[in-house]
Order: sequence, then structure tokens, then C-alpha cells
Amino acid sequence: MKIKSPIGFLALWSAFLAVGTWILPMGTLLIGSARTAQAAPISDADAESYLAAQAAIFIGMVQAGELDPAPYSVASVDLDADGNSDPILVTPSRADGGGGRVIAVRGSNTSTLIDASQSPGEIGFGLRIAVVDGVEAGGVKTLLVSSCERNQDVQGAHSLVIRAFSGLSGALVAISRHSFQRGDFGSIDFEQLGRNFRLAGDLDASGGIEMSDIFSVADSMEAQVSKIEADLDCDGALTGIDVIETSLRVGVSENSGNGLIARLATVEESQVLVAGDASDWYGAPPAPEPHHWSSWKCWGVAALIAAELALLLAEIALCGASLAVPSPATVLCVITALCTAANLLANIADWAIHCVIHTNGDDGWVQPMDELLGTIQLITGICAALGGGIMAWREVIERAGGIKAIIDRLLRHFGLQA
Amino acid sequence: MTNYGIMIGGLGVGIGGLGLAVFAYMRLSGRTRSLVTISICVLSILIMALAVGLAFLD
Repeated sequence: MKIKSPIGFLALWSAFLAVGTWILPMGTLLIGSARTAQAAPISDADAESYLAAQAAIFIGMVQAGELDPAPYSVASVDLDADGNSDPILVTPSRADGGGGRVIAVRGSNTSTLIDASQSPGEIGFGLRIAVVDGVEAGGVKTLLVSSCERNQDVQGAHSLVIRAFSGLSGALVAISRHSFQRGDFGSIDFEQLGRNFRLAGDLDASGGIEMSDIFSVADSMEAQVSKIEADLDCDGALTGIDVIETSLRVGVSENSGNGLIARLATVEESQVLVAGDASDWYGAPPAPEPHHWSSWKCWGVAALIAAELALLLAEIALCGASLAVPSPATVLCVITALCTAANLLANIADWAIHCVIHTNGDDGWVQPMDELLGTIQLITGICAALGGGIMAWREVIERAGGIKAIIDRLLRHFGLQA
Repeated sequence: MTNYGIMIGGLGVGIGGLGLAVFAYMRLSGRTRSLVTISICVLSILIMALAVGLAFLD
């Protein structure tokens, strides 16, 4: 469209101005008012039934294995030792103080075994849970739930609260509180402290997991808050994290009946993940051994590669200069340089795998590749040593006039020959 | 395996480098001889030290 007159241009400009400054903003306001007017508050009872309905759906998804095909990520802890897996659902405590609920469902009949919620004044309820051998015999487990409780009377004073629930009856069998001050944890963000709780097992290395181990977690928190590793399965070794922790699985939004968003209710359901070598307990596959190198080793191998590259360049220059007069020494020189180059390439590949490409080690190809590169490094190193060594000795012997001349000279030096 | 590979490989390359340093010392002359020999020796020793050190670093 071509605008020929100033009046037409002015009309178009006015139309754009009206749309931009009046129609769109007013429309936004009107729509917003409509939303507000039609938004219906949801009662606590409605929210509760909604959560229960979502939890039922979630349980079904967990039991059907629809959430994750990996078997170890399915909550399958046999709390009551009846031979059936008992799903554990966690609604972790949110930053706004909401949430904080742990539900365990009997795998045999899907009835509720444990249903525990955060108390007023607590934060972090359900962010960390653990399952340990319980006080009851027969393989019954105890479910531990941590939270943080604010002491309203003393400024900055808090308590780590650990609740222990029987895996058989679901009843609260023990509760411990460990008071601490904000300053006890140095630079740790206190609001995030609830996320750092780790409840673990045989901390006192007694060969079994007792309730005392639970309390010693709190005692050792100051030294290692973010990660406490413990021998959960009592196999005498810390081969993994050996900690059971929760991870966010499902977020759900809610619409009201009239089609407008009345309230967003996010349900943070979590599955239970088993880490470490706790496979004997829960039938989980062992966690793969990590193949990543430390940053120190990565930098060290990078320095080794740089030095080898410089040496290779020097060898190439030297061999190239000696090629003008070909001799057996030249051949040995080239062999040494080739072996150094092969060793350098193997080191580069090794470094790239461990420091750049792959650091988790949960793929099948890392281990065989590791062994192959190790063999290549070994062979090329021996090859370079033999090439350079033979070349050096050959040169020395030739210069001295043969081995016999060297021996004679040595004998004369030590006075054994006239 | 990789640790031993890096260690023995590095030691081998370093020993080979020292052999070449001997070769350079015997064959070259003048300032070039000193420069090349010392450079190769330093690099070889550095490689061997790094290889042994890295074997114990994880």
C-alpha cells in the first residue's frame, strides 16, 4: 500500500497510536480484571483431595513403570519386609513454606503406610529421606525424614529434626532435635541448608545401622554438611554415595472449571533414587564407577602432552637433519620419533575422553577404550625407549671404536690392564 | 591401566628422548649441539617426572 497524501499518513499514524496507547493496554487491563473476577479460591480441603488424587495417579505411574524405564529409579523399598515394594512419595518443602509431606504406600494393597507432614515453623521437611534397618526384627526398615526447625525464642537458633517412622506400622518411633546456630555452618546459605541434609547409615563403623548412627549425622554436619557418605549397606566399604535421596519428578498445574487459570498448584512429587552400592538392599544396579579425572590430573596430562609435542618437534628436526647422510642411526631416530608421535596421540585421546568428552563413565565404551589406550601408551613408550636407547649406545660404541675398545679403556682406567 | 600406560609410556618416551640427546651430542657441533642437547634433555626429564607424578595422582 502506498500513502500519497499527508492526511492519509496522519490517519494511519493516529490509528497506530490508538492501538498502541489505548486499545491494547485497556484490553490487557480488562482481561486481567476478568481473570481476577472469575478466579475462584480453592479451599484447603479441595487442595488436599487434589493432592491425594495426584498422588494416586503418581503411584499408579510409578507402579506401572511409566515414569522412567530405568529400574533403579523406581521407588521400590520394601519397608515392611512383606516381599512387596512400597512406593514412597515425597512432596518436598518449598521455599514459601508450603509442601513438606512424605507418603509411603503399602505395595501389597496400596493402603497408606506412612503419611507425615511438615509442622508449623519447620522448613525442608522431606528434602532428605533415608531408609535404614529398623529396630524391629525381620528386615523391617525405618524411614527417616529430616527437616529444619526454627527456634522462635532465640535469634538465629535452629534445630535439625530427624523423625524415624516404623516401616511396619508407619508410626513415629523416634524424633531427635539437634540445636545449632546460624554461625555454626560458616558460609553455608542457611536457607539452602535443608537441601543439604544427608541421613546415612553405619557412621560409627559398628557393622550395623543403629539409631545412634542417625544422631551422629547431626554431629558431623559441621565438617561435611553437603555430602556425608556412609556405608549404608554395611559391606565395609564406601564405594558410592550410599545415600538415598529424592528427586523432583512431576510438576502439575491446575485449571479451574471455567477455563481460566484460577490457581497454580504445583505438586512436587518425588521418586526415591538409590545411589551408591546399596544394590543389595533394593535390587538396584550398582552405580558405574566414575571415569573422570581430577582437574589436577587433567592439567598434568595436558602439560605432559605439551612437553611431548615439543620433544617430538625436536626429534623431527634432528632426524630430518640426519637424513642427509642416511645410516642405521637415522632409521632408529625415525622409529623413535614415530613411537613418540603415537604415544602423544594416545595421550591426547586419553585426555580428551577423560577431561573433555566424557566424565561420567556410565557408557560401555569408556572402559574398553581406556584399556586400549593404556596398551598403546605402554607399547609406544617401550618402543621409543628401545629406539632411543639403542641409538645412543650404538653411537657411543661406534665413536669409541667398538665394544672391545671400551672395555680396554675401562680396564686401563681402573688399573687392571697395563 | 591408564595410569600405568601414562607412566610407562612417559618414561619410555623420556628415555628415548635422552637417547636422541646423546645422538645429537655426538653428531652435532657448535652452539647448535648445546642448544639441541640441553633442550631435549630438559624435555625428556620433564616428561618422565610428569609421567611418574601423574601415575600417583587421581
